[in-house]
Formats: sequence, structure tokens, C-alpha cells
Amino acid sequence: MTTATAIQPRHLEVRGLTKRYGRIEAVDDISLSLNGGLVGLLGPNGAGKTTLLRMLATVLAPDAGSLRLLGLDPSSPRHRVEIRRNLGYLPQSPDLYPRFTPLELVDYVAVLKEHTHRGRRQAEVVRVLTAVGLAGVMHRRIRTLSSGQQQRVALAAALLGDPALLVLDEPATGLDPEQRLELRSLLAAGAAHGTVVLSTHNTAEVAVLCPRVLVMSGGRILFDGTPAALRERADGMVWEDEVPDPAALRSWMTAEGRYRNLGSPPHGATRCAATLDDGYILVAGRRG
Amino acid sequence: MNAWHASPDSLMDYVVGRGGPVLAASVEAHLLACAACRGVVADVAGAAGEAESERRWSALTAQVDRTPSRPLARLGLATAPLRRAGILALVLVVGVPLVVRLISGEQTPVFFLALAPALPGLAVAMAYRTDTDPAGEAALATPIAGLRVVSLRALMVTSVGLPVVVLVALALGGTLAAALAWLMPGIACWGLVLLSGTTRLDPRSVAVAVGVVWAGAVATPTVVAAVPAAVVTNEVAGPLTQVGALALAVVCLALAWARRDRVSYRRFA
Repeated sequence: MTTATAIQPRHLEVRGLTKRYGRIEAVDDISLSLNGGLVGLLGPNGAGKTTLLRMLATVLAPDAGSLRLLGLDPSSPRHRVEIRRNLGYLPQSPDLYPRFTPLELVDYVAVLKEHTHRGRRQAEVVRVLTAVGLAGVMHRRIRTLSSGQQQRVALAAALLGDPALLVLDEPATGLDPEQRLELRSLLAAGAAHGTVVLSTHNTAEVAVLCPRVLVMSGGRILFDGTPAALRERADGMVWEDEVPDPAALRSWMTAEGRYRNLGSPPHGATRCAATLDDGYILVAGRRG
Repeated sequence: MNAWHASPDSLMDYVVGRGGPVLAASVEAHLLACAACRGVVADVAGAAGEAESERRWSALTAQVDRTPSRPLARLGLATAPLRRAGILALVLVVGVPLVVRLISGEQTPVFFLALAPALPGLAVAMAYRTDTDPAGEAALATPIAGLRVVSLRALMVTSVGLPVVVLVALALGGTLAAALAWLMPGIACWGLVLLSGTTRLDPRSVAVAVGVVWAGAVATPTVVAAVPAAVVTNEVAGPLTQVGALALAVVCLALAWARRDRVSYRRFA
């Protein structure tokens, strides 16, 4: 067994990180520093969230810039292995083999995660499957499970070994409201002793879970702060009217049939209290 | 009313069936006349029953929830795509010599030696495919993703194929030299493809390229210059080719081992 390299569970630092696909800069010169806890990553489709998370999960090499994960450098093979020993990763499309049972699948990942002692591995596999609420279906084929249950199988695999760094790409996809509540508890527990980075389209999820939120668009981070600060970005910039305002940055119809406008309100407009959605749309809609 | 009582140890032994018939008869005789000890026995029996029930239940759930013991599942080889890859490799090693036999007659050993060494390389290339991993992309973020898993899978497929190839070669009337001469070049191809997985090259392309180069080098003298099969066989089985292939295999495997942590990071980027 190789000598373990000391890790810093709450240290994650990114400097000038860039990843290109042809002419497209999926991640464009991003720098940020995290010191543990739960961090939410918001952004529209194609914003570069998944590319950033794949680099944080060590499955994708950056074209430029540097990364420090858990205080280690993933470009060093030895450090990368050590990072992976303390990493849980839920990809955007888990793509699990449908003929395995959850027990077989998570056990397979446990083997890849060097859980070599059979008895302890068995206990750990059952623990994580129980934690995600799949104890009752762990002997069924994955293809017979709902999409939410399949998502939780992948989440269970990510939780193996209680990793110091959890990188989760849209973990709440396919989960019903009750399952989302359970997910929140799991993530809060993970954030207590390490770092959890999750991407989502759900601003409500971020508001409840994350003390810190990043908004990405066009490969860049356009906002880095608290959910309250993101909401405050839209303070005084939201008004409702009977018709969409052509001068507004964004207009959309509400459930009441009125139009909610976002931008610089005209004189005399009735302003509304801003929500986190308003703040997010305002930030993500404006390219840096 | 009794002035004395049975000891707690005796009562416990009686409840759990230890101590033999003499103790049991003695305790039972005492219990008939002692309400206090009957109470103790009732309590002890209840607690012991619960403990026993808990133990049996735990053993049952541990048995039911035990993790699978299938070694193929351990390597992800239990998945259909990798099973298909293994079956395809076997079909090739059996089918190719048969076809060669049909179309080449007495030159069969040459074409067998030209084609067989490429098969282990193809097995390695197939083991590199990301879409065959049961855990998908998540597997790439694990510490032993990469060379160890790929090597083990490739070894599993190759080890099944090797004896089949040798037996097929012998069954087709080839000499033992022809049946075994391809092994070392095959291991060299295996090493080259394995090493390519630690670079930005696609192992599948490398497997095909190495196979084509080898097949061309072995078959060309016979096809172009009508060199007899025995001469080509002796050349391949000779020390120069065998030692050269061994040296290449050792270098490739050593380099692949030194670069083992680069497999997934570069290959799947």
C-alpha cells in the first residue's frame, strides 16, 4: 500500500481554469477558492457547470490553469489517486449497468474505491444504500427501478467511504419532494466535515441547502456569494404589469396571468419583492 | 416455601440447555416447589429468547444482504458489452484459423501466425471502452480506475483465448512451433496496446495498426515472394523474433506500469 498523502478536507482552490472543446471555451479562466461546506452551482444549460465539475472530479484534465483539491494537485498522478480515495462523484448521466442490482453496482464501485475487506465493504455498501433509502430494493435489477431510485443508486456509490469531497452533478434530478428532503439531510451531513459542490437548476434547492452559490454562464462565474446576496441583485428591478415591457431584460407570464418584468423599471411601475429566481435570471442573463 | 434457591448460573444453564440431564432434572425438581426461581427462569428465558432471536435475525439479514461473490462482477466483466467482447475474441480465435485453413491450404501456419498475435491486443482495446463500465463515468473518479482494471479485464479475456488458439492451431495440423510461436509477439502487441492507453492515442486504433503491421510483415514474404510456410514459421519461432518480442513486451509493460495513473486521466479526457 502506498503511503497516504495528507489531505485538507475543506480546501479547494481553482486558478485560471480553462477547458476548450474546439473553438468553444466550456470553462473560461475560472478562479475560485472554497473552504468547505456546501456550494451550489447554478447556470443555464451549456454554462460549463458539468465541465467544471468533471475537472473537480479528476475525470477531465484542464487545458490551462491549476487545481488544488483537498490541498493536493490532481495533475500529479500520486496526488490524484489520493484525491480519488477521498472523493465521491455523481456524474450528470450516471449510466448504470441496468442488469446489476443496486447491491452489485455499489459493491463494484466499492471495490474500485479500494474497500478490499469483504466484511467491512459489505457493511459500507448496505450503509450507503440504506442512507439513500434503497434498503428495500437493493436486490432488484436496476432496470426495474424508477429514475429517481436509479439516481439514488449512483448517489449511494458517491457516498461510499464518507468522502471529504463530494462532487454532484444535478443530484436532485428525478427525486420527488420527500426524497429531496432526504437528500438535503445527506448533503448537509457531508458538508459538515468536508466540501460538497453540487450543480442544479433548482434555485429553491440552493436557497435551502447552500450558504454559498456560484452562478455560471458562458463558461465564466458571474456571481459568487450567498443566496440572499443573489436575490438582492434583483431588488428594485422587478415589476409586474398587464403586458410585457419591451424595455425589460426579461418578461414572463405569471400564474395569475400578469407579466413579471425584470430590468430597469419605468417611472411609476409597481415594483415587486425580488426572489432568488429573479436574481439568478438577472445574473445569468447578463454575460459578464 | 424453600429456604434456598438455585444459583443463577444453574438456572441459565438449564434455560439454554447446557449442563446435561442431571442438572436439568435437579433444577426441574426445585422449580416445582419454588415460585421465586420459576420467576427467574421466566425472565431469563425471555431475555435469552430475545437475544437468540436477534442473533438469528442478524445472521439471516447478513446472509441475504451479502455482497455478490461473482469474480466477474468484481471486474465489471459481468456486463453484457464486456461479455460480448470476450465472446467475440473467442469467435475470432476459433473462426479466423478455420477460414484461413479453408482459403490458404498449406500456407495456413503463415496466416495463422500473421493474425493470431493481434487478438490479445484487440482484447485489451475492448477493455478500454468507457461505455462497458457498469458504473459509467463515476468509475473514472475512483483510485483504481485505469490500468489495473483494464489489465485485469484484458487478462481475463486473453487467458480464456490463449489455450483455445493453441488448441485450434494444433487441431488444424500446425506444428507445435507454429501453435506457440505467436504467443510472444501476441504479448508484445498486448503490451503496446496497453501502453497506448496511457497516452492520448486511442487503444483501438493502436490495436488495429499494430495488428496490420504484424500481419503484413509475416504474410508479405509468402504472398509476394512465395516463401514457404516452414521458412516463415521458423523465422517467427526463431530466437531473434521471440527475444525481440519479449524485450518489446517487457519495455511496454514497464512503461505502462510507470504511467499507470495516467490511464483514465488522459485517455478519457
